[in-house]
Amino acid sequence: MPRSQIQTFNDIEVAWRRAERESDKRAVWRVLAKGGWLSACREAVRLNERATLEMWLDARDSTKQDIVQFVGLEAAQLVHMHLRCGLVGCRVREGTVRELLHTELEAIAPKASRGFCCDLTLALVGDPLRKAERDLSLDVLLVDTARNEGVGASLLLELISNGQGECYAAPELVFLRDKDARQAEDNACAYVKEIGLWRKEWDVRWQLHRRDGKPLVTLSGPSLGAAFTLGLAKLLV
Amino acid sequence: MRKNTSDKGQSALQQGSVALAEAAHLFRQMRLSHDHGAYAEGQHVAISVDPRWNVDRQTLCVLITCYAFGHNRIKWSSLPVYVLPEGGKAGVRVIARLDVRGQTVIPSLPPGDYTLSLRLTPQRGDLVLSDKPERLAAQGEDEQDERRLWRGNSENDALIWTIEETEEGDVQIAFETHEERLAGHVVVFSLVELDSKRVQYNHRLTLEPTRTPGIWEGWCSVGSRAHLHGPYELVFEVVLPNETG
Repeated sequence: MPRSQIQTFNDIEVAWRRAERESDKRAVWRVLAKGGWLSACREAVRLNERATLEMWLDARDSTKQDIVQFVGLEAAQLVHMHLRCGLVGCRVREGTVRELLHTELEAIAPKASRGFCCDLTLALVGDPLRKAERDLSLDVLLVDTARNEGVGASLLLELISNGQGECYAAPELVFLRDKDARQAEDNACAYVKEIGLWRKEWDVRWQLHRRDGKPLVTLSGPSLGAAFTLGLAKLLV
Repeated sequence: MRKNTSDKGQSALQQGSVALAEAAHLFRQMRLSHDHGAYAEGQHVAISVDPRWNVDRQTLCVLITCYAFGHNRIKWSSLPVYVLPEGGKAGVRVIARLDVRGQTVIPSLPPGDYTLSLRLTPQRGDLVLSDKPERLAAQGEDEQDERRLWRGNSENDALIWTIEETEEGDVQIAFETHEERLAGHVVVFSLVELDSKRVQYNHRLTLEPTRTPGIWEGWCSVGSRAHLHGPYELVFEVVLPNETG
Protein backbone atom coordinates (compact mmCIF):
# COMPACT_ATOMS: atom_id res chain seq x y z
CA MET A 1 0.00 0.00 0.00
CA PRO A 2 1.99 3.00 -1.20
CA ARG A 3 1.72 5.98 1.13
CA SER A 4 1.25 8.27 -1.85
CA GLN A 5 -2.01 6.46 -2.69
CA ILE A 6 -3.81 7.69 0.42
CA GLN A 7 -4.30 11.43 0.26
CA THR A 8 -8.04 11.86 0.71
CA PHE A 9 -10.95 10.30 2.59
CA ASN A 10 -12.12 8.81 -0.68
CA ASP A 11 -8.70 7.11 -1.04
CA ILE A 12 -9.13 5.66 2.44
CA GLU A 13 -12.49 4.12 1.57
CA VAL A 14 -11.18 2.75 -1.72
CA ALA A 15 -8.16 1.20 0.00
CA TRP A 16 -10.43 -0.30 2.67
CA ARG A 17 -12.78 -1.82 0.12
CA ARG A 18 -9.81 -3.38 -1.66
CA ALA A 19 -8.49 -4.87 1.57
CA GLU A 20 -9.62 -8.47 1.23
CA ARG A 21 -8.12 -9.79 4.44
CA GLU A 22 -7.82 -8.50 7.96
CA SER A 23 -4.05 -8.31 7.43
CA ASP A 24 -4.67 -6.03 4.43
CA LYS A 25 -6.75 -3.77 6.67
CA ARG A 26 -3.92 -3.61 9.20
CA ALA A 27 -1.60 -2.62 6.34
CA VAL A 28 -3.99 0.16 5.28
CA TRP A 29 -4.11 1.37 8.88
CA ARG A 30 -0.32 1.46 9.07
CA VAL A 31 -0.34 3.79 6.07
CA LEU A 32 -3.04 5.90 7.71
CA ALA A 33 -0.96 6.15 10.88
CA LYS A 34 2.09 7.21 8.89
CA GLY A 35 0.43 10.34 7.56
CA GLY A 36 -2.70 9.12 5.79
CA TRP A 37 -5.14 10.57 8.33
CA LEU A 38 -3.21 13.84 8.39
CA SER A 39 -3.18 14.10 4.57
CA ALA A 40 -6.88 13.27 4.26
CA CYS A 41 -7.88 15.84 6.90
CA ARG A 42 -5.57 18.46 5.41
CA GLU A 43 -7.10 17.92 1.97
CA ALA A 44 -10.62 18.11 3.42
CA VAL A 45 -9.77 21.41 5.12
CA ARG A 46 -8.20 22.76 1.92
CA LEU A 47 -11.41 21.97 0.00
CA ASN A 48 -13.61 23.05 2.94
CA GLU A 49 -15.28 19.61 2.98
CA ARG A 50 -17.00 19.97 6.34
CA ALA A 51 -19.68 17.49 5.37
CA THR A 52 -17.04 14.81 4.74
CA LEU A 53 -15.40 15.41 8.11
CA GLU A 54 -18.80 15.27 9.82
CA MET A 55 -19.68 12.02 8.05
CA TRP A 56 -16.51 10.43 9.39
CA LEU A 57 -17.56 11.48 12.88
CA ASP A 58 -21.06 10.08 12.47
CA ALA A 59 -21.40 7.03 14.72
CA ARG A 60 -24.23 5.70 12.53
CA ASP A 61 -21.94 5.23 9.54
CA SER A 62 -20.73 1.74 10.37
CA THR A 63 -18.28 1.39 7.46
CA LYS A 64 -16.42 4.56 8.37
CA GLN A 65 -16.52 3.73 12.07
CA ASP A 66 -15.11 0.27 11.32
CA ILE A 67 -12.11 1.97 9.76
CA VAL A 68 -11.71 4.55 12.50
CA GLN A 69 -12.01 2.02 15.31
CA PHE A 70 -10.12 -0.84 13.67
CA VAL A 71 -7.05 -0.71 15.90
CA GLY A 72 -8.75 0.28 19.14
CA LEU A 73 -10.19 3.04 21.23
CA GLU A 74 -7.04 5.06 21.77
CA ALA A 75 -6.24 5.35 18.06
CA ALA A 76 -9.91 6.06 17.32
CA GLN A 77 -9.79 9.00 19.74
CA LEU A 78 -6.79 10.37 17.89
CA VAL A 79 -8.64 10.06 14.57
CA HIS A 80 -11.64 11.84 16.07
CA MET A 81 -9.28 14.57 17.25
CA HIS A 82 -7.98 14.94 13.68
CA LEU A 83 -11.54 15.17 12.34
CA ARG A 84 -12.63 17.72 14.97
CA CYS A 85 -9.52 19.79 14.40
CA GLY A 86 -10.24 19.54 10.68
CA LEU A 87 -13.70 21.01 11.27
CA VAL A 88 -12.14 23.78 13.32
CA GLY A 89 -9.61 24.24 10.51
CA CYS A 90 -12.47 24.81 8.07
CA ARG A 91 -13.86 27.49 10.38
CA VAL A 92 -10.41 29.02 10.83
CA ARG A 93 -10.12 29.31 7.06
CA GLU A 94 -13.49 31.06 7.04
CA GLY A 95 -12.21 33.34 9.80
CA THR A 96 -14.96 32.40 12.29
CA VAL A 97 -12.82 30.74 15.01
CA ARG A 98 -9.15 30.51 15.97
CA GLU A 99 -8.91 27.13 17.67
CA LEU A 100 -10.77 24.13 19.06
CA LEU A 101 -12.99 25.08 21.99
CA HIS A 102 -12.04 23.62 25.36
CA THR A 103 -15.46 21.99 25.76
CA GLU A 104 -15.14 20.29 22.37
CA LEU A 105 -11.67 19.05 23.32
CA GLU A 106 -12.96 17.61 26.59
CA ALA A 107 -15.62 15.74 24.65
CA ILE A 108 -13.14 14.20 22.19
CA ALA A 109 -10.39 13.16 24.53
CA PRO A 110 -10.26 14.45 28.09
CA LYS A 111 -6.54 13.80 28.38
CA ALA A 112 -5.62 15.39 25.05
CA SER A 113 -3.09 18.16 24.97
CA ARG A 114 -4.57 21.54 24.03
CA GLY A 115 -1.25 22.57 22.58
CA PHE A 116 -1.23 19.52 20.34
CA CYS A 117 -4.78 20.24 19.12
CA CYS A 118 -3.81 23.81 18.39
CA ASP A 119 -0.78 22.68 16.38
CA LEU A 120 -2.79 19.98 14.63
CA THR A 121 -5.36 22.57 13.56
CA LEU A 122 -2.58 24.84 12.27
CA ALA A 123 -1.01 21.91 10.40
CA LEU A 124 -4.35 21.04 8.79
CA VAL A 125 -4.91 24.64 7.75
CA GLY A 126 -1.38 24.74 6.32
CA ASP A 127 -0.08 27.38 8.71
CA PRO A 128 3.21 27.21 10.62
CA LEU A 129 3.02 25.46 13.99
CA ARG A 130 3.00 27.50 17.23
CA LYS A 131 6.07 29.69 17.47
CA ALA A 132 8.84 28.36 19.70
CA GLU A 133 10.65 30.63 22.11
CA ARG A 134 13.77 28.50 21.96
CA ASP A 135 14.73 25.01 20.88
CA LEU A 136 17.31 22.34 21.38
CA SER A 137 18.42 19.58 19.05
CA LEU A 138 19.96 16.33 20.26
CA ASP A 139 21.60 13.60 18.21
CA VAL A 140 20.07 10.22 19.00
CA LEU A 141 20.63 6.72 17.74
CA LEU A 142 17.59 4.72 16.68
CA VAL A 143 17.64 1.02 15.90
CA ASP A 144 16.26 0.02 12.52
CA THR A 145 14.83 -3.33 13.53
CA ALA A 146 14.19 -4.30 9.92
CA ARG A 147 17.91 -4.20 9.17
CA ASN A 148 19.26 -4.55 12.70
CA GLU A 149 21.39 -1.46 12.36
CA GLY A 150 21.71 1.95 13.97
CA VAL A 151 20.16 5.03 12.38
CA GLY A 152 21.22 8.55 13.26
CA ALA A 153 18.38 10.94 14.05
CA SER A 154 17.82 14.40 15.51
CA LEU A 155 15.44 14.96 18.39
CA LEU A 156 14.20 18.55 18.31
CA LEU A 157 12.63 19.93 21.49
CA GLU A 158 10.88 23.31 21.24
CA LEU A 159 9.79 25.46 24.16
CA ILE A 160 6.54 27.32 23.62
CA SER A 161 5.92 29.97 26.23
CA ASN A 162 2.13 30.51 26.18
CA GLY A 163 1.24 26.95 27.05
CA GLN A 164 -0.14 24.83 29.87
CA GLY A 165 2.79 22.72 30.96
CA GLU A 166 2.23 20.06 28.30
CA CYS A 167 4.65 17.99 26.27
CA TYR A 168 3.44 16.69 22.93
CA ALA A 169 4.64 15.34 19.60
CA ALA A 170 4.47 17.17 16.29
CA PRO A 171 1.28 16.14 14.43
CA GLU A 172 2.97 13.75 11.99
CA LEU A 173 4.36 11.64 14.85
CA VAL A 174 1.27 11.24 16.95
CA PHE A 175 0.32 7.72 15.77
CA LEU A 176 3.90 6.51 15.57
CA ARG A 177 4.67 5.60 19.17
CA ASP A 178 3.98 2.43 21.04
CA LYS A 179 2.91 2.32 24.68
CA ASP A 180 6.46 1.99 26.04
CA ALA A 181 7.70 4.96 24.02
CA ARG A 182 4.81 7.11 25.28
CA GLN A 183 5.47 5.99 28.84
CA ALA A 184 9.17 6.91 28.51
CA GLU A 185 8.16 10.39 27.33
CA ASP A 186 5.71 10.75 30.25
CA ASN A 187 8.36 9.61 32.73
CA ALA A 188 10.90 12.10 31.41
CA CYS A 189 8.38 14.95 31.70
CA ALA A 190 7.36 13.90 35.21
CA TYR A 191 10.98 13.84 36.33
CA VAL A 192 11.81 17.26 34.91
CA LYS A 193 8.65 18.73 36.47
CA GLU A 194 9.52 17.12 39.79
CA ILE A 195 12.92 18.80 39.95
CA GLY A 196 11.22 22.13 39.37
CA LEU A 197 12.57 23.05 35.96
CA TRP A 198 9.24 23.22 34.13
CA ARG A 199 7.15 26.39 34.43
CA LYS A 200 3.36 25.97 34.30
CA GLU A 201 3.00 28.20 31.26
CA TRP A 202 5.54 26.31 29.17
CA ASP A 203 4.70 23.67 26.56
CA VAL A 204 7.28 21.52 24.87
CA ARG A 205 6.75 20.18 21.36
CA TRP A 206 9.07 17.52 20.00
CA GLN A 207 9.93 16.26 16.58
CA LEU A 208 12.25 13.53 15.35
CA HIS A 209 13.93 13.31 11.96
CA ARG A 210 16.13 10.60 10.54
CA ARG A 211 19.38 12.04 9.26
CA ASP A 212 19.20 9.94 6.11
CA GLY A 213 15.93 11.68 5.23
CA LYS A 214 13.88 8.46 5.22
CA PRO A 215 10.46 8.52 6.87
CA LEU A 216 10.15 7.42 10.46
CA VAL A 217 8.36 4.22 11.31
CA THR A 218 6.74 3.38 14.65
CA LEU A 219 8.92 4.28 17.62
CA SER A 220 8.88 1.37 19.99
CA GLY A 221 10.38 0.79 23.42
CA PRO A 222 11.57 3.13 26.14
CA SER A 223 15.03 3.89 24.75
CA LEU A 224 14.27 7.53 23.89
CA GLY A 225 13.52 8.23 27.56
CA ALA A 226 17.09 9.20 28.49
CA ALA A 227 17.40 11.57 25.52
CA PHE A 228 14.07 13.14 26.48
CA THR A 229 15.11 13.66 30.08
CA LEU A 230 18.48 15.14 29.17
CA GLY A 231 17.03 17.29 26.39
CA LEU A 232 14.16 18.63 28.49
CA ALA A 233 16.48 19.44 31.38
CA LYS A 234 18.84 21.35 29.08
CA LEU A 235 16.02 23.11 27.25
CA LEU A 236 14.20 24.30 30.35
CA VAL A 237 17.17 25.46 32.45
CA MET B 1 -17.51 -56.20 -11.26
CA ARG B 2 -17.62 -52.53 -10.45
CA LYS B 3 -18.99 -53.21 -6.99
CA ASN B 4 -16.22 -55.71 -6.35
CA THR B 5 -13.49 -53.17 -7.30
CA SER B 6 -15.10 -50.59 -5.09
CA ASP B 7 -15.20 -52.99 -2.16
CA LYS B 8 -11.53 -53.79 -2.63
CA GLY B 9 -10.69 -50.08 -2.69
CA GLN B 10 -12.71 -49.49 0.45
CA SER B 11 -11.01 -52.36 2.22
CA ALA B 12 -7.52 -51.13 1.23
CA LEU B 13 -8.43 -47.68 2.51
CA GLN B 14 -9.59 -49.09 5.82
CA GLN B 15 -6.45 -51.20 6.14
CA GLY B 16 -4.36 -48.14 5.38
CA SER B 17 -5.98 -46.09 8.10
CA VAL B 18 -5.69 -48.94 10.60
CA ALA B 19 -1.99 -49.23 9.76
CA LEU B 20 -1.50 -45.48 10.15
CA ALA B 21 -3.25 -45.49 13.50
CA GLU B 22 -0.97 -48.31 14.57
CA ALA B 23 2.09 -46.36 13.37
CA ALA B 24 1.00 -43.34 15.41
CA HIS B 25 0.55 -45.58 18.45
CA LEU B 26 4.03 -47.10 17.99
CA PHE B 27 5.66 -43.67 17.58
CA ARG B 28 4.17 -42.49 20.86
CA GLN B 29 5.83 -45.38 22.68
CA MET B 30 9.27 -44.82 21.17
CA ARG B 31 12.15 -42.78 22.56
CA LEU B 32 15.16 -41.50 20.67
CA SER B 33 18.48 -40.85 22.33
CA HIS B 34 22.05 -40.22 21.24
CA ASP B 35 22.90 -43.59 22.86
CA HIS B 36 20.40 -45.72 21.05
CA GLY B 37 17.88 -45.83 18.27
CA ALA B 38 14.51 -47.48 18.45
CA TYR B 39 12.53 -50.16 16.67
CA ALA B 40 8.91 -51.13 17.13
CA GLU B 41 6.53 -53.30 15.17
CA GLY B 42 2.87 -54.08 15.26
CA GLN B 43 0.52 -56.15 13.10
CA HIS B 44 0.62 -53.90 10.07
CA VAL B 45 3.72 -51.70 10.30
CA ALA B 46 7.20 -51.47 11.74
CA ILE B 47 9.02 -48.27 12.67
CA SER B 48 12.78 -47.87 12.75
CA VAL B 49 14.57 -44.83 14.21
CA ASP B 50 18.26 -44.96 13.44
CA PRO B 51 20.53 -42.21 14.86
CA ARG B 52 24.19 -41.98 13.77
CA TRP B 53 26.84 -39.51 14.83
CA ASN B 54 27.79 -36.98 12.20
CA VAL B 55 31.46 -36.51 11.32
CA ASP B 56 31.65 -33.51 13.69
CA ARG B 57 30.64 -35.81 16.63
CA GLN B 58 28.47 -32.94 17.87
CA THR B 59 25.19 -33.83 16.21
CA LEU B 60 23.26 -36.86 15.05
CA CYS B 61 21.83 -37.78 11.68
CA VAL B 62 18.57 -39.64 12.27
CA LEU B 63 16.89 -41.81 9.67
CA ILE B 64 13.25 -42.62 10.39
CA THR B 65 11.64 -45.37 8.33
CA CYS B 66 8.10 -46.70 8.40
CA TYR B 67 7.56 -50.13 6.81
CA ALA B 68 4.20 -51.49 5.82
CA PHE B 69 3.84 -55.27 6.02
CA GLY B 70 2.34 -57.28 3.17
CA HIS B 71 0.88 -55.37 0.26
CA ASN B 72 -0.46 -52.45 2.22
CA ARG B 73 -0.12 -49.22 0.28
CA ILE B 74 -0.04 -46.53 2.89
CA LYS B 75 -0.12 -42.82 2.16
CA TRP B 76 2.87 -41.75 4.20
CA SER B 77 3.58 -38.68 2.11
CA SER B 78 3.76 -35.38 4.08
CA LEU B 79 2.73 -36.92 7.39
CA PRO B 80 4.73 -35.00 9.99
CA VAL B 81 6.84 -36.68 12.66
CA TYR B 82 7.36 -34.44 15.69
CA VAL B 83 10.63 -34.94 17.58
CA LEU B 84 10.52 -33.09 20.90
CA PRO B 85 12.80 -32.98 23.95
CA GLU B 86 11.65 -35.55 26.49
CA GLY B 87 9.68 -34.27 29.45
CA GLY B 88 8.75 -31.01 27.73
CA LYS B 89 12.22 -29.59 28.37
CA ALA B 90 13.64 -26.68 26.39
CA GLY B 91 15.74 -27.67 23.44
CA VAL B 92 15.71 -28.36 19.74
CA ARG B 93 12.33 -29.36 18.31
CA VAL B 94 12.03 -30.94 14.90
CA ILE B 95 9.17 -31.46 12.48
CA ALA B 96 10.18 -33.88 9.72
CA ARG B 97 7.65 -34.87 7.09
CA LEU B 98 7.66 -38.40 5.70
CA ASP B 99 8.17 -38.96 2.00
CA VAL B 100 6.02 -41.23 -0.14
CA ARG B 101 8.11 -44.26 0.92
CA GLY B 102 7.59 -43.55 4.61
CA GLN B 103 11.07 -42.16 5.27
CA THR B 104 12.58 -38.93 6.52
CA VAL B 105 16.05 -37.81 7.55
CA ILE B 106 16.90 -35.34 10.32
CA PRO B 107 20.40 -34.27 9.37
CA SER B 108 21.70 -32.66 12.56
CA LEU B 109 20.01 -33.30 15.88
CA PRO B 110 21.84 -32.35 19.09
CA PRO B 111 22.45 -35.22 21.51
CA GLY B 112 19.70 -35.73 24.08
CA ASP B 113 16.55 -37.66 24.82
CA TYR B 114 13.55 -37.13 22.58
CA THR B 115 9.96 -38.27 22.24
CA LEU B 116 8.37 -38.96 18.86
CA SER B 117 4.87 -38.58 17.52
CA LEU B 118 3.23 -39.01 14.16
CA ARG B 119 0.35 -36.79 13.03
CA LEU B 120 -2.18 -38.50 10.79
CA THR B 121 -3.08 -35.43 8.74
CA PRO B 122 -0.66 -34.60 5.93
CA GLN B 123 0.87 -31.15 6.40
CA ARG B 124 2.05 -29.11 3.50
CA GLY B 125 5.10 -26.98 4.16
CA ASP B 126 4.71 -23.59 2.53
CA LEU B 127 7.91 -21.68 1.88
CA VAL B 128 7.91 -18.35 3.71
CA LEU B 129 10.29 -15.53 4.64
CA SER B 130 12.44 -16.20 1.63
CA ASP B 131 14.35 -13.36 -0.02
CA LYS B 132 11.70 -12.73 -2.62
CA PRO B 133 8.26 -12.15 -1.16
CA GLU B 134 5.11 -11.56 -3.16
CA ARG B 135 5.00 -7.84 -3.95
CA LEU B 136 1.73 -5.98 -4.06
CA ALA B 137 2.57 -2.40 -4.96
CA ALA B 138 2.45 -1.23 -8.53
CA GLN B 139 5.60 -1.60 -10.56
CA GLY B 140 7.94 1.34 -10.23
CA GLU B 141 6.78 2.33 -6.76
CA ASP B 142 9.36 3.10 -4.14
CA GLU B 143 10.54 -0.09 -2.46
CA GLN B 144 9.61 1.45 0.91
CA ASP B 145 5.99 1.41 -0.15
CA GLU B 146 5.82 -2.22 -1.17
CA ARG B 147 4.41 -4.78 1.20
CA ARG B 148 6.63 -7.78 1.82
CA LEU B 149 4.30 -10.69 2.31
CA TRP B 150 3.71 -14.38 1.77
CA ARG B 151 0.24 -15.89 1.48
CA GLY B 152 -1.49 -19.22 1.11
CA ASN B 153 -4.43 -21.43 1.96
CA SER B 154 -4.92 -24.62 3.90
CA GLU B 155 -5.38 -27.79 1.84
CA ASN B 156 -9.18 -27.57 2.09
CA ASP B 157 -9.17 -23.77 1.61
CA ALA B 158 -10.95 -23.30 4.93
CA LEU B 159 -8.10 -21.22 6.29
CA ILE B 160 -6.07 -18.49 4.64
CA TRP B 161 -2.78 -17.32 6.05
CA THR B 162 -0.60 -14.27 5.60
CA ILE B 163 2.93 -13.61 6.78
CA GLU B 164 4.02 -10.01 6.48
CA GLU B 165 7.22 -8.18 7.21
CA THR B 166 6.25 -4.64 8.17
CA GLU B 167 8.36 -1.57 7.47
CA GLU B 168 9.46 -1.69 11.10
CA GLY B 169 10.92 -5.15 10.47
CA ASP B 170 8.29 -6.88 12.56
CA VAL B 171 7.14 -10.22 11.17
CA GLN B 172 3.41 -10.81 11.66
CA ILE B 173 1.40 -13.92 10.93
CA ALA B 174 -2.37 -14.13 10.50
CA PHE B 175 -4.78 -17.01 9.98
CA GLU B 176 -8.26 -16.11 8.80
CA THR B 177 -11.39 -18.12 8.10
CA HIS B 178 -14.90 -17.50 6.85
CA GLU B 179 -16.12 -20.84 8.20
CA GLU B 180 -18.11 -20.50 11.38
CA ARG B 181 -17.43 -24.13 12.37
CA LEU B 182 -13.80 -23.10 12.97
CA ALA B 183 -14.68 -20.23 15.30
CA GLY B 184 -12.84 -20.65 18.58
CA HIS B 185 -10.58 -23.37 17.15
CA VAL B 186 -6.84 -23.09 17.61
CA VAL B 187 -4.23 -22.91 14.87
CA VAL B 188 -0.97 -24.51 15.98
CA PHE B 189 1.80 -23.37 13.68
CA SER B 190 5.55 -23.69 13.35
CA LEU B 191 8.25 -22.08 11.25
CA VAL B 192 10.64 -24.88 10.35
CA GLU B 193 14.16 -24.48 8.97
CA LEU B 194 14.39 -26.10 5.56
CA ASP B 195 17.56 -28.16 5.89
CA SER B 196 17.77 -28.98 9.57
CA LYS B 197 13.97 -29.31 9.99
CA ARG B 198 14.37 -27.57 13.34
CA VAL B 199 11.46 -25.53 14.60
CA GLN B 200 12.56 -21.90 14.75
CA TYR B 201 9.27 -20.62 16.16
CA ASN B 202 5.98 -22.16 17.19
CA HIS B 203 2.82 -20.77 18.68
CA ARG B 204 -0.95 -21.27 19.04
CA LEU B 205 -3.55 -18.77 17.86
CA THR B 206 -7.27 -18.85 18.58
CA LEU B 207 -9.60 -17.94 15.71
CA GLU B 208 -11.60 -15.08 17.21
CA PRO B 209 -14.34 -12.94 15.72
CA THR B 210 -13.14 -9.80 13.94
CA ARG B 211 -15.00 -6.52 13.49
CA THR B 212 -16.12 -7.87 10.10
CA PRO B 213 -19.10 -10.21 10.54
CA GLY B 214 -18.44 -13.75 9.32
CA ILE B 215 -14.65 -13.57 9.62
CA TRP B 216 -12.58 -15.13 12.40
CA GLU B 217 -8.89 -14.46 12.77
CA GLY B 218 -5.86 -15.15 14.90
CA TRP B 219 -2.72 -13.09 14.45
CA CYS B 220 0.47 -12.25 16.28
CA SER B 221 3.94 -10.88 15.90
CA VAL B 222 6.55 -13.58 15.37
CA GLY B 223 9.51 -11.29 16.08
CA SER B 224 12.01 -9.16 14.28
CA ARG B 225 13.00 -10.04 10.72
CA ALA B 226 16.58 -9.39 11.79
CA HIS B 227 16.36 -12.55 13.88
CA LEU B 228 14.29 -14.59 11.44
CA HIS B 229 16.62 -15.19 8.55
CA GLY B 230 14.51 -17.70 6.64
CA PRO B 231 13.51 -19.25 4.44
CA TYR B 232 11.27 -21.47 6.52
CA GLU B 233 8.47 -23.92 5.94
CA LEU B 234 5.22 -22.87 7.54
CA VAL B 235 3.54 -25.95 9.01
CA PHE B 236 0.19 -25.67 10.76
CA GLU B 237 -2.86 -27.58 11.87
CA VAL B 238 -6.24 -26.60 13.30
CA VAL B 239 -7.20 -28.22 16.58
CA LEU B 240 -10.03 -27.91 19.06
CA PRO B 241 -9.43 -25.35 21.85
CA ASN B 242 -8.65 -28.00 24.47
CA GLU B 243 -6.44 -30.14 22.22
CA THR B 244 -2.70 -29.87 22.74
CA GLY B 245 -1.90 -30.08 19.02
